Amino acid sequence: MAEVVKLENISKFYHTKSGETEALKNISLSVASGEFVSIIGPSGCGKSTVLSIIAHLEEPSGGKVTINSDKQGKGKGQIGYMLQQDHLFPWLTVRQNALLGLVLRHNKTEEAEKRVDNLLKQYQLDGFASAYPNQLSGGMRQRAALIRTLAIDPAVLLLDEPFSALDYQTRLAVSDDIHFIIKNQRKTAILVTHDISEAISMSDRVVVLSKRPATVKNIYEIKLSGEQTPLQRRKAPEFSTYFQKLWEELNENE
Amino acid sequence: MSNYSLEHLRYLKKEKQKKTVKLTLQISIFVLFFALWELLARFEIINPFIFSSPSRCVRMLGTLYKTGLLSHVGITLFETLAGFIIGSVAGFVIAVLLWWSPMAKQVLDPYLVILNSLPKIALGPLIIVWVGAGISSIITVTLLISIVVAIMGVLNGFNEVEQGKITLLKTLGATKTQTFFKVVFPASIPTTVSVLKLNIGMSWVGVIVGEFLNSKAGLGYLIVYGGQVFKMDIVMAATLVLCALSAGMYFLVVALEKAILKKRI
Repeated sequence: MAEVVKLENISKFYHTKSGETEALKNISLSVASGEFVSIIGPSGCGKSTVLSIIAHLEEPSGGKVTINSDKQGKGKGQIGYMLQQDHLFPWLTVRQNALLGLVLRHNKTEEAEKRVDNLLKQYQLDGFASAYPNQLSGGMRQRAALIRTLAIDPAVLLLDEPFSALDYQTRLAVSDDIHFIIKNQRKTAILVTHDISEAISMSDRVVVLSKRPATVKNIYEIKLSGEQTPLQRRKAPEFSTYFQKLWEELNENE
Repeated sequence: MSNYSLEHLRYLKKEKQKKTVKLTLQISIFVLFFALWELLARFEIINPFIFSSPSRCVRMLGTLYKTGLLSHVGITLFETLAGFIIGSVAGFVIAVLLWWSPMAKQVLDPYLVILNSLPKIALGPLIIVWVGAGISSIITVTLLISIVVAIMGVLNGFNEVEQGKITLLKTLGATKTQTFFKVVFPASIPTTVSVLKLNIGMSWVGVIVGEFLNSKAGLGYLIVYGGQVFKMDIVMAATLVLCALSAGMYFLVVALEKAILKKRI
């Protein structure tokens, strides 16, 4: 399968007046088209930095990021980013929020608008298209945020703990929702999370980072019997084995 | 309405009663204050020459009306609005520029702090010499006061916009101009409006003190003039008009604020 994202020997230093911190060291990773990869690691290890670098919000100190084998274009416009908060703008309607990326890129064609309307309809938000975000439930807000991200038709979706602001119950339901939408749209996704169960239940592969300076410690291929939604995957017999392995892997860092 | 439970209806009734009581008390205080003032002055428990009285104020208002009260009101109103509007607009523009260039903001920061803490009235005598006595110097003092408030307040609002929202816009490929118009400005409208509210009060202060310093017309002039010729009726009457005007303008801004914020729900 075609490689969508390729990281080669990425390193990152942070500089402050009191000194420099090595955040990432020799991170190499490639993600294939349609794959769902999770990145876990001890808190503060620089998981989110990896996403920031892929999105070109931050420049790596060394190494190379390639998106769809396009080095020059820097992958701009090919990245969809979902953050910890949905950041829907309260002064815009759900539909206007969803169209935001297109408006910013001067890409709001009739065709694109139709696509967004379709997405809203497909994922049960058409009834709320002209509602404001504060009228939506937490789950609906995340769905709206995902549609805003999908509207620009990105090659890869970066999810930076997008469920961490939700309560547990909603979180399980929204993970299901979002996973379904991403698979349904055949999108490539990279999820950063500190939740081991979430990583196993949603991904094809789980990347474990070490503590600072973060290196790729291990990569697990997740194979669960009986394909299905993240919620069902949590009940698969192999689930607890993976959980155990990842748990130990993470705690070795301590 | 008819679907509400008895308990809820009782609750609604109670709330309504509370509101009525509140309004009654508010009006009573107003009436009581003026009645007491009138009675105390009439029975000469307080000296009506020094403290005036509501009836004397009303009579004085009648006299002043004939000798051009409205033109005094007009001048003061004009000075206030001119100082307020020019100061707020210029302050807003400067705040935008400082938001645009963090370097400029850092460089100018100490000067802003000094300007902010300096009582601008102290510059009054200088300004009178520089721009000339009268309306122009009064507007300049007012403008100086409101421009600093506007810069500091509006810039604060810009900088308080959630960083996440800005990051989100960057991930969607926004330019700096787009970041400003799509997030920073709309997200800081509530703070900007409250800065304007603060500023209108500051502008009144600037105008009245400016008129105290040098003027031949305006409510501030009337107040000072009344004091100098020891006609407290003039002072009190002009103060009451000023009270009504500034309250009116304040409520206008509050109504505007409500109208703007309602659209954002």
